[in-house]
Amino acid sequence: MGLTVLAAVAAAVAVRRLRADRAGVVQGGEVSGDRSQATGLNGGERWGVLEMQNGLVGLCVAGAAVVVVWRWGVRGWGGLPIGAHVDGLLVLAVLLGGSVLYLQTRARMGGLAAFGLPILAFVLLWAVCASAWTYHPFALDTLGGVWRAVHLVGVYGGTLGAVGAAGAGAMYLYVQQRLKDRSPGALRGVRGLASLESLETLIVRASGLGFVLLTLGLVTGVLVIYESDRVLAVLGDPWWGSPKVWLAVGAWAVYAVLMNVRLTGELRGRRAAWLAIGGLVLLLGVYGLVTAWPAPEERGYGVFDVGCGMCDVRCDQTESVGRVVKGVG
Amino acid sequence: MRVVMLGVNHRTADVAAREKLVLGPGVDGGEAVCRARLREAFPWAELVVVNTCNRTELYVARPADRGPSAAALREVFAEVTGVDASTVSAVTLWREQEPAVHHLMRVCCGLDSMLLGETQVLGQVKRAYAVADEAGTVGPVLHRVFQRAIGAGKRVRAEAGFEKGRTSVASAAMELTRGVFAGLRGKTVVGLGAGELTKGMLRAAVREGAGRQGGAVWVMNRSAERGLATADELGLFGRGLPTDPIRDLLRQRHRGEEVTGGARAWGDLEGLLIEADVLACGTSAGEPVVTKRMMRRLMGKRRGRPLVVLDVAMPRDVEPAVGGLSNVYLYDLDDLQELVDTGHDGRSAAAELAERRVSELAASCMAELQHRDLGRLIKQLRVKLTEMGAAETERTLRKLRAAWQEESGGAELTWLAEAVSGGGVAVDERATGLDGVMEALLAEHTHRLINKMLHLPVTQMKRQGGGAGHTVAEAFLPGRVARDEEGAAAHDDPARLGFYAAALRRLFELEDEPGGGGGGDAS
Repeated sequence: MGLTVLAAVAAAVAVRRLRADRAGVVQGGEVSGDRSQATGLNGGERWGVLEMQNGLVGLCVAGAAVVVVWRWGVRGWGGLPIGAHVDGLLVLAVLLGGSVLYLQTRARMGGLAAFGLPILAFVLLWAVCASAWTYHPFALDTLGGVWRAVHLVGVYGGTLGAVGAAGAGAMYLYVQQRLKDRSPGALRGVRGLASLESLETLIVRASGLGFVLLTLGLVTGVLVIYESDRVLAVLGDPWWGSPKVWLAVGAWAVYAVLMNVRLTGELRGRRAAWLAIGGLVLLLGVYGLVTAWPAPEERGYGVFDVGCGMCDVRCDQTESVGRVVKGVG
Repeated sequence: MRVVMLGVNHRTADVAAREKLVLGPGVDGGEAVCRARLREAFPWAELVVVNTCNRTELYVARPADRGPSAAALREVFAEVTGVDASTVSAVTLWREQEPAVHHLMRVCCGLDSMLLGETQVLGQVKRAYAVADEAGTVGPVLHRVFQRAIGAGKRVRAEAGFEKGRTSVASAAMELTRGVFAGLRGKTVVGLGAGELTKGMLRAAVREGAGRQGGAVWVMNRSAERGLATADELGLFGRGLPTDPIRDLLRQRHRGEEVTGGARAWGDLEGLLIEADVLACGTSAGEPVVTKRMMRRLMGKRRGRPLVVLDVAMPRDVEPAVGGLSNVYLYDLDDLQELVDTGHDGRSAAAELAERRVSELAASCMAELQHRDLGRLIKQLRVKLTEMGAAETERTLRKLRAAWQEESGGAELTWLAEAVSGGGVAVDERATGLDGVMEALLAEHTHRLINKMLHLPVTQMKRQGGGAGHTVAEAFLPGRVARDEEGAAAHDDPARLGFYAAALRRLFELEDEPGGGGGGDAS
């Protein structure tokens, strides 16, 4: 919860900076007197605010990484560091926070933090939920080590791509609205934001990453299905009729389209941005089904173990790990 | 003479209103029609029409007691542009005397421009002055005003330091592309028209990398020669033009890199609208060149590529509705104004300095005009009085001669001459007889009378004009000014100078016109 609060504060700071950009025009990192009056921030203060924001994001990233590593240690350092959905979300938060910090340093990517950090806060909040109310360790014995690793990396890496594409899509819509807006002040500060072309490039690249990794995740997911009777029992018969599978395939198809959007023409620009957001919504649907939706055996559509991931039955260790995650996440 | 200005600019009206009030160039353009109309109705008035993308302003010098008045100018403006008079009244700016000169100087210095210290406007004012001079509508007053204003434009820019980090409307316009494109490398930029603004935008685009790595920079103009000349000027490297009869393209290099592009025929407009990533419009066409219907038809062929349209033409070249199309980002001069407004604050210290200098220079220019005007008035007055005095002297002499001849038959004439000479009266050496003596006496009498009559008005003028007024007065009443300087009581308001001048002109029927005398601050 502490990390979520930090991320939320960082997001609020990023959004405030974006609003400050709207009130004036940034040129060469400096702030005009006009803007300072409008926002109460001078150049030095703005720089201080940026440092504070990055510091908070850094703390979130470091904290999430520590929790993941600690939980991994608790499980005995075996296999992957992702032993439950909460681990996956924490890894996602680490990668997302790192990406935001990196992209902020890139030219023509200004303002991206205002869209990336709220998502980071959301992911961390989700991790809190995943540890507090829907905590289930993965059934790590359903696949061989390599396939399991590929599946989890594919799913969470693909989600990172989807999150990146959706964040860029949201920002695309915002920047486009500003560029088309005829009301006074709308054009101010647009120069400080990422260009539509850069954002479209980010959407395409993130979608490409998402597509490749989701493909791996889906293929290895099918292998899981065929190799595990337990999974078939979870998904029902036929397994491909499961909403989880349909939503996952739908998201995969969206990213297949998105990565080629520049070739199609008709889906460029605003439509691509909405598609990116739609793709993430589909993926969230998959995760919702996996973790929270009532399903066969009332355990959701996920391949979870009833225990802590290191044994076959629910034990005290499972409960203690869950409590710790609640406290930290 | 009075200097007045009536105009519309980006501060008084939005682009939609401004484009209706444009006085187009050319022989049949609104500018020539307006000039002819004013010339016909007010042949004594001097006129310069300053027409830029952001302003249409009429500068007029006229006698204090004659037209054109503000209402008459607005009427002509409305008639020529076809806009109703009430709209013209609502959006036009009226300045008179020093404020008019001050305004022109601010325009020349780029203080009234969208971008502080913008340089193109000075060239545009120079051209407007040259055109008016050629048309014969510039007289001594506007000659002086425009020469001073153009001089101020150069001087103030240099003093205020606007040259440092100098920017232009064209480069600011290109900045708008940064919201859409990460850079202009690989992009195709098309310039419609071959005017200064279009050239400036294309130049800025080339600086930012347009025309390289698969992109191109094209110039499209109705006149093929001008299109080619512009391409030549920009150093565009030509390539095969599928539908273009203009193939004589230049092969120059830009910083070691070839800039692909050249001139294209006007007929290839639709083809270029499909190719273009950035469209820079600056033609002088009276009607929109790019319509929504045309663009909607072409957008499908563009395969969803975004198009940035920078329309700095006045009137606009692109229908405003084009901006509503998906993936089209249309910006006009008002948007540019919005974007660059904060630039003024960024250089406020330089602006303050420039404003102070402009105020000083405007006051100095106005004082010069006023002194010149007053000098002419006094001269006119003196000539008039001298003529009247000479006529009366002649009449009196005739009467005197007749009276002496009748009474003494000429015997007393010698005695009178001796008596007059012995009395110590200064008599002209050329006056040998009594006739000459009488003539000299009467001439001196008249001269002294005129001097005494002129003494008070000249003293007043000296008081109004300060140091320079001293010179004017001294030129006409040598010796008197110095003597009366201390005794002259400041019993009149200086603002009444114009009133006095106008009253004198009216009372003595003196002409106020170019080359004649003129009024001051009041009508």
